[in-house]
Amino acid sequence: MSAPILEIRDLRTRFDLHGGSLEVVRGVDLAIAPGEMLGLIGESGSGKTITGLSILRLLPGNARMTAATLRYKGTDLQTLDHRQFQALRGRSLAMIFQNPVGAFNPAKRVDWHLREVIRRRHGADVDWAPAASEALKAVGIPRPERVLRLYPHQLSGGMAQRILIAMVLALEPDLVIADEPTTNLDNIVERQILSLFRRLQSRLKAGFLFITHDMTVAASLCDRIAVMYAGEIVEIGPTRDVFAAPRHPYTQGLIATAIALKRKAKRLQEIAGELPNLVAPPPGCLFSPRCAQAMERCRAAEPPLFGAPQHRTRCYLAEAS
Amino acid sequence: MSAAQESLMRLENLSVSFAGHGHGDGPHFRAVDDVSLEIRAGEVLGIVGESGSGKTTLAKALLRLYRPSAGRILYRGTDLAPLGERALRPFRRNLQMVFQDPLSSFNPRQTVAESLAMPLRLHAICPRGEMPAAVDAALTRVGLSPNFRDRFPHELSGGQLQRVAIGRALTLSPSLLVADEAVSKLDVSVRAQILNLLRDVQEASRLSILFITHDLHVARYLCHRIGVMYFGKLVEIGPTEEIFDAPRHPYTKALLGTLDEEIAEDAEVTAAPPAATGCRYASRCPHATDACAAEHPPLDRVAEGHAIACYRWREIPDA
Repeated sequence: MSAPILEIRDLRTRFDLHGGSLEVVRGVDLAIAPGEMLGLIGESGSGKTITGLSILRLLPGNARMTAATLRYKGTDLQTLDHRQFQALRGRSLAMIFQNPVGAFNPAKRVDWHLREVIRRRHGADVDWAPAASEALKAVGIPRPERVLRLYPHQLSGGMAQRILIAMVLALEPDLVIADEPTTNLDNIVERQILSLFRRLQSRLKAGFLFITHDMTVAASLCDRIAVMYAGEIVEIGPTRDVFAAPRHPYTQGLIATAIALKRKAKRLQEIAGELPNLVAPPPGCLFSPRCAQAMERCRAAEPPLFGAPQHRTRCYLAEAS
Repeated sequence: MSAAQESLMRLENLSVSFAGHGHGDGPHFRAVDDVSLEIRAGEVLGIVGESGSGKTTLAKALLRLYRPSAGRILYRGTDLAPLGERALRPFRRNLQMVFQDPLSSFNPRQTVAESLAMPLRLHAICPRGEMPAAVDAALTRVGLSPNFRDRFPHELSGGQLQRVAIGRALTLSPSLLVADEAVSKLDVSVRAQILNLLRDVQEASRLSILFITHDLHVARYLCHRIGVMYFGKLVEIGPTEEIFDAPRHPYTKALLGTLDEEIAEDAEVTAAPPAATGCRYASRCPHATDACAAEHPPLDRVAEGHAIACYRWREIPDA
């Protein structure tokens, strides 16, 4: 494996609240290689979005982020000042959000957005118009001249997401963080957008962090997946291995639910209970209150990640394997 | 489910229009366009379609939260379409709704007990002394402990709140529950709990549910029949097994085709806006002919309880 584009160790993000503070990302380690798509799977409140925002310094004012390592192509991102980081973000580091319409300037037309991106990448005197049309055609927009004249509120969700992807394509970044980019779309448009991500990946050779709550989307798109629960990665490994033989009971439950829905099971298997309250987290393993296989030691001390480096699991059941 | 089930609600040529803003759509935008369908007593009818297909507007119109621009809404023989607010009130308790975002469907300053008691008070069907017992019963029915009585909405998780929302909708023993993307915002691990709960209450009380979703797997799990909407039109409706095993409309086929498909880098990804005249789907349809561009096809019966809006279904080979 070539040197990672992004390398993170012990990433922690906490929010200051009036009653104290709340740690929502609790020691995340991950690395993304060039051309690799890493899926970050979790439910709302698991910390997956905050992980993405922490990397790009897009956190709200009451959030504090620390990390033992946060390296982009060998550069320690934590040493960069605001201006240096700004030069990187929106140039080499790109983000695609769940609500695509909200990512546009509502007062500017589509052509303005593409022009900004193309000039940012290729300089102010580049002939941006042909490149803009080309980028829109590449994402399946048949008549780009017409779409370039539209305002963001005139775009459907799928169209807006296509244009954002066209902008990323024109930007040619090294790292793309995509946060639930297909969640609000219907099945057909979702498949088309996922195909576009495949294209992005093969054309850009960038590293991708693909954040989703949908196991089936991650399975069909990502090279590796990391499952987050309550701010921690509980399992990380190659997609094929994790799906064929999930080791963490939480991953097993997520996959069982997804498969039961696909196969029209008589009754869906439930994961009992709810996500823990991180203001007063349970002792030991954070999943233990919901885990059917929990043992005494699970409630006594939090398990570390077990297993060989390519497939690691935060569960005592994976200790022997 | 038998074919001889009694009809609970019947929509006849229902249309809902909104005033446009002049961005090319003309003065009016028809969100629901000439839709006719029937909801039978004790069935779960699913409405699937992409965002913007008109499924939420359809639901709100049949609850008379919108006034339809044309057509009839027959509830057990009475047309609700022309009725005013006062005349609608006796019908409201029979028609209840659960929304997508549970947090925004509660008054943040009311406790769970107050929220659950509100419909009972408004419709004056529960003596004051029996209210606490009715609230506890509503909580138990949706799998929550009576301890939740004095909590506020922000103290509950999304799954717990959606349980309360379902409990509140059921306090009046409605004959129809409209669930609009009721599990879409829930966490994956909680979604299964709520789907199982909906199925349990439906089976226990023989309630009718209009279940609106963009998720085909979820629709298949819960629904007896499924209607497919595309840009305001109902393009196919039929029993769930038939829709999944033998879809007829090219759009339904395309929707279902996405379920097991590999994600290919070279897949067809062209966006196609709906046709302005004729069949709405013609601009994306591989089988479209000149006839399709003239007028949107009417619903045509293809089998018992199975209808589609397509001129060419007889000639299109089965998937």
